[in-house]
Amino acid sequence: MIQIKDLWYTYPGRSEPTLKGINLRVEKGEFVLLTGPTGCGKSTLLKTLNGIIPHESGGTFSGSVKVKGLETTDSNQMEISKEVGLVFQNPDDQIFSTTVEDEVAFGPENLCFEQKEIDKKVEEALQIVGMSSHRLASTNSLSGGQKQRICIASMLAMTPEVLAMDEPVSQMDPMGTHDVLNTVRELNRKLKTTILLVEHRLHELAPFVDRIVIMDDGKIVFDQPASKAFDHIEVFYRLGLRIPEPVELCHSLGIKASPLSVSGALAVLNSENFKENTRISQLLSNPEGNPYAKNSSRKDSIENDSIENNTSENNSSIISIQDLWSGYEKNKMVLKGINLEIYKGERVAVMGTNGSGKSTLLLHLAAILKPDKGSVKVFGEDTRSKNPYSFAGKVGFVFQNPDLMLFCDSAEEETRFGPVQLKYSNIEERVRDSLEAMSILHLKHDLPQALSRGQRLRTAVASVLSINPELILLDEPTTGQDRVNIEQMMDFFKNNNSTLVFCTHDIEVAMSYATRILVMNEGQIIADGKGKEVIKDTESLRKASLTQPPVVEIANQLGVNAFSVKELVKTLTSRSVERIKC
Amino acid sequence: MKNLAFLPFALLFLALGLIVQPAAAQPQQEDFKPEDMTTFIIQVPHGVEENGIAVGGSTLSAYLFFESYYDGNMNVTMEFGLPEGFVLHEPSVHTFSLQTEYDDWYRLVEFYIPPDTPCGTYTITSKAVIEVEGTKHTIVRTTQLKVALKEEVADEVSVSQIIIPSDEDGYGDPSHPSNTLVVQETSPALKKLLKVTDLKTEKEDLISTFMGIELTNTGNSTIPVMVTYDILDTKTGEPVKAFKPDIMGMNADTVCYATVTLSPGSNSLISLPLYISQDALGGDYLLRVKVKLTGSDWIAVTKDQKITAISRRWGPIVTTFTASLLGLTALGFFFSRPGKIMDRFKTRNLVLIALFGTVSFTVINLPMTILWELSHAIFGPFSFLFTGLFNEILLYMLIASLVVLIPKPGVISLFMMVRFLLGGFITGSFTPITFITLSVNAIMLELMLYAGGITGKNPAPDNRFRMGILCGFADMVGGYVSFSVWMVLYRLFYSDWYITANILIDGFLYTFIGTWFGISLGNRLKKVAE
Amino acid sequence: MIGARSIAEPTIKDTVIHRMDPRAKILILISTVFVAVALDNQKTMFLLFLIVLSGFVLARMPAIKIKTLVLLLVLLIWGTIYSQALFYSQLPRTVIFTIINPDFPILGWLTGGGLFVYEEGLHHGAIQGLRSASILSLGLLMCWTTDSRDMLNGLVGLRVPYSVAFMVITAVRFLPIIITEVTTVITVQRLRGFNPKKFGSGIIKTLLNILTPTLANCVRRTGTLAVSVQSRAFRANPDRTSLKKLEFSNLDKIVVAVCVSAAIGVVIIKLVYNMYTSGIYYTSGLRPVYAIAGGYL
Repeated sequence: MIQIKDLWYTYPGRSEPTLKGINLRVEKGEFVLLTGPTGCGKSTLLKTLNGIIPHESGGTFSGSVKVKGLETTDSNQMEISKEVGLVFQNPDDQIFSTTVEDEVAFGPENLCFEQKEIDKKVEEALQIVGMSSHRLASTNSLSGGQKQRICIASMLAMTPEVLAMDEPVSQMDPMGTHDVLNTVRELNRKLKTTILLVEHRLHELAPFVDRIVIMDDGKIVFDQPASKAFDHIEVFYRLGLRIPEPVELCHSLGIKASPLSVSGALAVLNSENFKENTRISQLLSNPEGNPYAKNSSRKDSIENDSIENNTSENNSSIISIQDLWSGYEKNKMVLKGINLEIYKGERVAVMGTNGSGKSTLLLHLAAILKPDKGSVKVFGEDTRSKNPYSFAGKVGFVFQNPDLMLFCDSAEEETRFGPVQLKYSNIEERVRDSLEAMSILHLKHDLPQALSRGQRLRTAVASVLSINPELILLDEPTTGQDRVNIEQMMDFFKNNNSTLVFCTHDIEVAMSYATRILVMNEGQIIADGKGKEVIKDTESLRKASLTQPPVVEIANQLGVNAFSVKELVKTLTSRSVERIKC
Repeated sequence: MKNLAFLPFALLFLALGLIVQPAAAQPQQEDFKPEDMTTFIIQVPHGVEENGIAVGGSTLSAYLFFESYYDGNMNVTMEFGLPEGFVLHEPSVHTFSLQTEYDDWYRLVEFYIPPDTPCGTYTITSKAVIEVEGTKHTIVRTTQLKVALKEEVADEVSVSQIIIPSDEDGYGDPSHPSNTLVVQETSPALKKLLKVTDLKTEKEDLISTFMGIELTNTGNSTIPVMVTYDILDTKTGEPVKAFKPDIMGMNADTVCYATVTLSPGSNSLISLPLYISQDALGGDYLLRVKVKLTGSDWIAVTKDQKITAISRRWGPIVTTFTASLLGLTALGFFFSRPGKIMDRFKTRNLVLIALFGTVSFTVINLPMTILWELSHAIFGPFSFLFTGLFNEILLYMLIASLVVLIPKPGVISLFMMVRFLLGGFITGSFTPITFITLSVNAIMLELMLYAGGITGKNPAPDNRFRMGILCGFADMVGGYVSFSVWMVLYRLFYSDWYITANILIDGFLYTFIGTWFGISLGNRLKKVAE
Repeated sequence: MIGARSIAEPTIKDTVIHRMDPRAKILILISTVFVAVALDNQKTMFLLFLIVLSGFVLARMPAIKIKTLVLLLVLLIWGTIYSQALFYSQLPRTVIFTIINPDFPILGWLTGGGLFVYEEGLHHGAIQGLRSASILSLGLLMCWTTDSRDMLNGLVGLRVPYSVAFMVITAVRFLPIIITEVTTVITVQRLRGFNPKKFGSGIIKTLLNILTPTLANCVRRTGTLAVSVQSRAFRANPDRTSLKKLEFSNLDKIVVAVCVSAAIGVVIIKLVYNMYTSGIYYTSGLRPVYAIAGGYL
């Protein structure tokens, strides 16, 4: 279906090629996951499939890309468009119409189909993605997952045989991710659509795909069927790619199997029946010798949290919310009777689907919004009686899209902006410290807007840190970010004992870094407690479309109390050691 | 040939002349006959040979005229006799001498009729004693003057009709709407151009027209009257200077009057000139025609008529017309070859222009919907200093950065088109004013930036100063056009100082600043795009 | 931003006005604009305004839209009244308030002899405001009874090139997103202690601070969106078909015919009348026309 031979490509104005001799062959009906670290050239590779590179982009192109035998460089846009559909990361950046119907009809209209034919294609495409009932809806009224499904439908309406997707779920909430991935899987299974999907959330996708291809520095460095891919687990660690927890568990236990799902892992564990107990105990007594243990260090932190949590509760309350009701329209309340106390030193993760009221709650914490009913006290002062910005300097807010926070000419100026406006002393020291904390001191003269995505996030955080706020609010900082960026930022907050409230969809991040998790649903807090307590509350998680991390689920199934791979491994080994003793 | 035919007649006249001359010299030696050899006229009041009429309390001028047909020296002593009670303001006896034939003497003699003078007919006598070669001859002239009650005169004279505007004879012209004065002004720019090019020398810019006034005398007396008019402010009743401007340094009252003698039982149509200064304001006025009895300050009759002045300034009209035509032409040009024009832009260009359009709508149109009027309420006529921050600085930041990102001709037009359509779809502002203003602005910017080498084959959008100046000029034109359109199509008024201040500060200064910073913004965005 | 929404969003109902072909609405609007601009007679202008308002009744507009309309109209007419009260240059005029005394240093000279509020100007502003009020109201009625995509279909139906329509759809679609982004950008800066109300050179900085992140985001978004639409064969073919076909109903045809001919009629009559009053052209045969124009239009 797709045949790429010795493909080299250099963007106009750059000296270094982005693609360096790519060779790839994809068969009809295959589901290929293309992954690799940021900047490895995977998105660029996708754009060569439908001829946008080099037709539209210009640049230096050599080699051959054939789709269904058609050489993309020799074909016109019309021909290739019928064969390859492209879906990108952010659905909001792909939808240009105001209604679903128009968006989906756009392709067939451009291909000059008859009116009846277009109508049929729109209906079919919407049916496949399960959005038929939204045909006449406004695109702005849809959720993230629905929007992405519309993007897929708009490609499907042109009945392409190949669907190339560039991180289609990285910006979705759990529900959206679930919807989109299921749709893609159905497409692949039922319509035999060939799928080439770029994603670094490997652990979530691995169960669906036939083949995993890893790129690094413009080259393909790994190409294996999904079932065998994790036999070479060191490649994943080396490139900083996240491994599915069941795989990690098995490897930590020294089991030579790579189950991709919870059920698979359970089956393996049952069949293995912990025969290799001796080896496991050896490994655990000498963790240095275990190559995998280092990489799962993140999970260790969960254990320490309970201690911190206890200390924080003794501290003074920073935020005190009583019966908070709030909404943008009178008859549509977003927050419905929130009661919340947040203490100094706490790190609170707020979870829930989009529209559950997380961001609105954060805006109340920053005193930007005022309650319609009830009271919000920030640092002991009622926000209703204060100017919305009178807490500037005390509260630092990192918005969902950090790009909107960057407006100065250099990263240094960006960090200086707050302290100068607030007339703080030792400005230079603050600037240096915050840039250093985010490891972007070397970029201080660069234009923030022109930095990479991760660097932009770090600049935005540094610009807030330089104010040294007593309370830091993060609105989904993990959305669309690489794992490395997220961890670096969260580690800093953790080490500094900052008081932090952050919204996230990533339950693993929440488990690792939060001292407390709030789960919100339809404007109410439905669960509030330590990570370990909340994660057991499957009912609340389900309401918020959250699922337990696979390792917790496995532990539950095994009747064990464990919240990280390491904990589970420890419990399992100690159990088997006991058995051996018996 | 034709001229030769007159020759015999000419010779004949010459011969006759030679014969007659010695004969005419003959009577010198004979008896002097005063009635034959002189003319002696008395008119009271001036212009009325007999049966003059006056009212008590008026100052009249009597006219005395004496002419000699005697070819020699004569001394005349003229005595002017008034009835008892009349007051003469000057000596009653005048002495003069006439030297030759056709020599004459005249005088206007002012006298006053006290208000308490009983009504009735008075006789006024004038006696001339002529001394020729030592011999005295006497001639006496008398005339009747009726002193009447004011009511009596007022009843007899009336203004039966006022025709304004009229032709120079006072007749109405159906091709002009009645009771309407059109104050048409040449545009200041045109005036200046004419002055600079010497095509028209500096002269007073006055509009002139006429009005016809029909007077009726139903009485038996001959009534000498003077007719004048005033154009009054309907509210204050004060005369409006612009309708009685100084003419060549003289007060218009010295020009705008007419005297006429109304014969008994007659209708007379007279015309009066009307001069209007170009800065006269339009509006409703009261035309007041006043009829005075000659010699008297007393106004016998007044008649008021409402008139309307339409101020028609050609400058804005021509500007609006030209701008509309320009806009429509540009639109026609676009519609004639849309494919060709649009193909010059890549899809990413189109998307970027559309998004810039959205941003402009968000940061300019939306806040302006409310702030525009609000700032008027706060800053009054100086609100443009505030609204210009949005309408010029922000707008030109967007335009300049867009040009830096896409330095192609046509990019501004597309941007303006998106703005226009977006405004239309969201706030329903498909108005002629937005269409004309935006299209002229786009055309001016396109032309200037293309000519200035900012867009085009070798684009140089980084020259801040050049681009700032060019955009500034283009926006000044756009600003003037928009005011013209408001004035012409929406009939609104704006003071000249206000327009000038707007054009200079908002149109040029703010635009320059916006462009200047827009270029740096564009360069930053360029790095993002890379 | 609720205000922005109540201005921007159309209502979904099934009334005579809603059912009209968008092309018909556009043509009616254009005709009305011509009539509104041509009219001078106060009573006729008021009548036109009432006719336009009756459209809102026919379209059974919800209270929020009526409120928005009233607010916008009040602002508009107030603005006209205020400016005309200051700049009214017809006689008679009565000063009811002095803003700048002619003897006031500099400003007195700058304003060419002071600045006053004239009573007659208030009246004139109110009358002339009716003209813009009619145009604005009809424009809003059109927006509020037509989905923006129908309107675009209408434009395409009136031969506006699809590329232009595409740009406008894109602009409309991203409006709520960009409004939110701009609001966020302002909030971010204020949370970092910045006070954008400061006047002076700070204002330029504020404007740049708002534009930079917003536009940078647009620039980034542009790449994706362009690729996305291209991959759907946008502009791959000079022609394109359309899912939606517009059709004029008989009622549409009649209303459009009436409006367009009325507009042409009024404009011609006024043109002829103005040529007469300006002394450009007169013929006695047109006297009845002059009479109509002078008396009613």
